[in-house]
Amino acid sequence: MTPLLDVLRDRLGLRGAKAGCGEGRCGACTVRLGDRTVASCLLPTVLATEPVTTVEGIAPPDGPLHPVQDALLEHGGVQCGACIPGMVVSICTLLESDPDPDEATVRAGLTGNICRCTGYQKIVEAALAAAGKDQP
Amino acid sequence: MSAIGRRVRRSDGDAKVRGTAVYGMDHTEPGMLHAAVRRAEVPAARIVRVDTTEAAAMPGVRAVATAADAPGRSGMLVVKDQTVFAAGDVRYVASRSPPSPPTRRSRPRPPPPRSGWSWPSWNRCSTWRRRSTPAPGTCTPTGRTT
Repeated sequence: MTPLLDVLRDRLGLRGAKAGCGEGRCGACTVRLGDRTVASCLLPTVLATEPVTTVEGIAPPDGPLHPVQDALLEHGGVQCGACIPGMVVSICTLLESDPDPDEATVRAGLTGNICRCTGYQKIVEAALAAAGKDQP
Repeated sequence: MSAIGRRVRRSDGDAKVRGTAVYGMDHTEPGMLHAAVRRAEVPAARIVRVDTTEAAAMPGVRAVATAADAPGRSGMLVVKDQTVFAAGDVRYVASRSPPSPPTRRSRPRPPPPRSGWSWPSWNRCSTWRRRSTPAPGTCTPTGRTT
């Protein structure tokens, strides 16, 4: 069974989602399926029966950034950036289901996305800022 | 400098948050070949033989590379002392002594190494103490890695 990630990257040329671990642990391949997030490296393509949104679909290619993307840059939440496509999709999905999360909710929502650069703090700050909870 | 004391966005950040940044894994070009790594099936073993005939005969395979094709060490960064491919020994488990099977301690000590014997290339660091000598043939890989 071909994973959804392979179709996205190799057939459709959408290379934002990354093949990190290939076993559903790192979250770099996170995409949205309907109103939830999935690890596309594990999801058989035939089971992707709802609309799929990748990081490329979060903001128009030539348009302004999504507030989550903007906050990640503003708060220094991006370093090497390999986890960021998954982070963007996860945070956007989280904020749609819970527009007013506290820090613990954000951290819980990002447990499926591993980042080896930032230590998460700046990513959490960015997510809270995107939710309108900008800290001084 | 005007940047000091201010938040400055990283210059490559826009592409990274949009997912359009091209990493090594994202690069493609016409006619590009793909590589696959065959890993040992055991964590610690002596490599007696690597049979690549079956792999080389697979449809579409252009080349099979082994340690014989990449002599020496990688020379790169923190792995500069590692070989590119496993050579001589499979050593997934880090140790201060050569790979040995779990029952090693209950066995009699092997005779002292004959003259001309040397440690494997990966084990020449002076800070590693010699504890025991590897007994030939006591632990060999299984399957095609042999």
